[in-house]
Amino acid sequence: MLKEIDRCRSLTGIDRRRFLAGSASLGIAAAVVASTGAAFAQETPKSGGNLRIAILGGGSADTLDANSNVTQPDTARVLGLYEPLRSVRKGGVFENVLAESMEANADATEWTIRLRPDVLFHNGKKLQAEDVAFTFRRVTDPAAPLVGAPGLAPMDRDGLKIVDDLTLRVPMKTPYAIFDEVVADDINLGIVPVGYDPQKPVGTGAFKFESFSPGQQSVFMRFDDYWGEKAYLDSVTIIDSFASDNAAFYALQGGEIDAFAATPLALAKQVQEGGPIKILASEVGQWTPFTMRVDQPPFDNPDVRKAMRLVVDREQIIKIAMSGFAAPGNDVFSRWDGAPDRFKRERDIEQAKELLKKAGQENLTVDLVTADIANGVVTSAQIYARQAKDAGITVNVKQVTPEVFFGEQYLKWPFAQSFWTLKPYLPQVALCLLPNSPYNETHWSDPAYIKLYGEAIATIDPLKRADLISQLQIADFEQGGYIIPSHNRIIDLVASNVNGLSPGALLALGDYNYRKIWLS
Amino acid sequence: MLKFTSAISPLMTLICRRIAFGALTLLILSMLVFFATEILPGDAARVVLGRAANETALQALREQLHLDEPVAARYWHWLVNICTGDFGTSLVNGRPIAELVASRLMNSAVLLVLTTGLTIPLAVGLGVFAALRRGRRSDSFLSVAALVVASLPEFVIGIGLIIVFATVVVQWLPPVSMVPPGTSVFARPLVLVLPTLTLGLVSFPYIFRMIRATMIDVLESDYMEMATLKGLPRWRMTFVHALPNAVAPAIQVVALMLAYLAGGTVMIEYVFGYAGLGQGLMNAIQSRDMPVIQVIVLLLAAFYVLVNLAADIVTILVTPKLRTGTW
Repeated sequence: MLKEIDRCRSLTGIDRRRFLAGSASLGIAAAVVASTGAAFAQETPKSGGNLRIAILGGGSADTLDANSNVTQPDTARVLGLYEPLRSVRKGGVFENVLAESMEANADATEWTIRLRPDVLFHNGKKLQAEDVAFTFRRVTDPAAPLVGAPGLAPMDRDGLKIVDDLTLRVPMKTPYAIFDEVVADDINLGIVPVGYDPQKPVGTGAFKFESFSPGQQSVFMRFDDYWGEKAYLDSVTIIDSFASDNAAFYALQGGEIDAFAATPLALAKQVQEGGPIKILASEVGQWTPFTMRVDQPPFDNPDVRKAMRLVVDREQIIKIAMSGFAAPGNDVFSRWDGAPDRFKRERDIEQAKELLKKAGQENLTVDLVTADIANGVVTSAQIYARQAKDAGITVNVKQVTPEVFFGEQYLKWPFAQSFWTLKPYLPQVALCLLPNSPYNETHWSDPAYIKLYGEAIATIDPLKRADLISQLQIADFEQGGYIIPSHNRIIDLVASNVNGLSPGALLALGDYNYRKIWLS
Repeated sequence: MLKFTSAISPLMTLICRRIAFGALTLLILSMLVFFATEILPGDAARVVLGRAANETALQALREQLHLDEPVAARYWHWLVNICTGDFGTSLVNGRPIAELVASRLMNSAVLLVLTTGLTIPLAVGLGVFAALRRGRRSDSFLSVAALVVASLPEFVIGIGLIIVFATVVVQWLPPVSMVPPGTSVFARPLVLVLPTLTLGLVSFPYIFRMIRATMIDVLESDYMEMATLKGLPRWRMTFVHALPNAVAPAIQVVALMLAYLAGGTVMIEYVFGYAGLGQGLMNAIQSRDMPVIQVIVLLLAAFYVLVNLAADIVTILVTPKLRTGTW
């Protein structure tokens, strides 16, 4: 059971969960609503009520900080309290939230942010440019940088200029054309007022803080001065004291809670169609890759990496490890960007054997370090080991606890696994494929690649940028150290009286869109 | 008069000595708890700062937490603080530990008192009943049932009860025992039913079997035969002459059960999502919250010592032989 908790904690990953925004052309966030009849049909919404949500992974480290959350329940809380400048919606489409507009100058060295007027914080203060500047400075504080800091690194934090109450000018140290994608981060870049104190959390969200007990529960009340369409619910209670998925499932069955967010995938199979519990499946494209260190033998040989990728039977991993709730991945991440259909990798044992022979690694033996860090990860490792056997590769699966996994050896394992939520391509590269990336698991460091990336983030023209992204993705597909078997879904279980939910683009419960939910 | 003092004073000496031993045990325990958590890998500063820790921040925090002081000095500070009622603050969320632990302690205590209050009379009553009807159908039924229940792990019993009473079969009771922080469990007493029932079922068989066995021994003894021959009424024989003698060995079992109920309910709290001490300990361990771990472990250990002390004293009080002996 300890494993269970740890898994959920690391599901969101200490300081790893940033998803910036997606410049996407292709909408793949199509959702599946597996439920009979008019389960999610729209009637006239009814106001009132308290929505009780269970979510696993909480603990004493729980926080309400807008810019530094740790556990999965943290995300659930933060999304109700705070709002970012912009947000990603289904299909990777961007939507302004607190920003009215964001414009770059011709060479992307300066951005101008115009704020929506008449937005109030929970304490009655009006949202102004100074609050955005405060938030940016808070996140990038050199003494204690927060989770969103790497994305804001090109920003000249000392040069932020308040033009008027609602306008902020943001100079960049280097051209940064993707700034408007980076700030679209609900989880880590919620805007907070000047002088913000996480102990007395104040944001602009549709729900305001009522009470909070770490690892137990937190309550949020409807904010009646919310700038947009107000919420139907009177309050939202987030319960994260459940130590096991079974307890939360029983609670849902027994009517003690109304929703179980981000359910373990295997549990969703126990729910029968047409019963009192509905399934909400969101095509959010989380990915759980195998990570090969390209700077260490045997993975320093591109032929070995390719062979390791060719032995994967992706359908089998999805069927067994992900309980079917995933789409095949083809070793390229950020499926909204570029042209994902171009990349297709089928299982080819013969070619894998040939490549290994060429590399002189016919009887390759490797250790694969795994830990219960996300849904299906450990099972995937076991299945992979069996699949690799067909090409003569011996994979010794070494399971460690999440603490050990994320301990001293984290980011140093030669062959391991990882977990990511979906992010747009370039911000994702900044996080994991550059020499100074905070999570360069594969130790990828290629001068030509870095140069291309530099060009891409300085390119404002979306078409030109998409072309550069494609070139980078080709390198990933041919040479990279990631094996990406699948893009995984998120499953929520909700009681039949919960209405107004539609599948989320990135997160559980329609991206924790409490404002739209009503109870019948 | 002389006789009176000579009878009481060794008893008092004994009790005092036992209490002194208990205090000594606690002191040793406090050392064990403190040093055991100290030698765990990784220091507290690293825990607080997480993976993003840098050397300057680590150094500053180490000073703030007095981690740069020698370990003996830190133990002394810690012990003095604990003894003066200052439990410190949680490393992970900076809240006072006393506040974090108090409500959990209360919840666990409620569960413990309820379970004990229901289980002991029932187990003793049925134990006596089974012994009196030894070999008959009712005795066999009770004994077999107790054996079956005793052989089931507690979480199987818990989940079984949930399936029957709360989810699949009927939905009379809440399947989980959510107690909103800051509210009393008695605000919704129904949430107590299933955890109490589970714990009761888990602890019942041991006491029942013990009472039945000792009762059978006593009933077969010479003085009971004598009492029968003297024509004493059966109820008087059972409750006045037999039971007090049968109870003594069972007291130690009850003490063990209480100790188990205090610390061993983690599984039950896990199954029912009950916010007790066990769950608090688990949370603290997962987040490497050393001060909280130390306080909870020390509390559980203190309870263990107290219960055993009480059991010894009660055993002595109900066993005249022990009372008069020279100890």
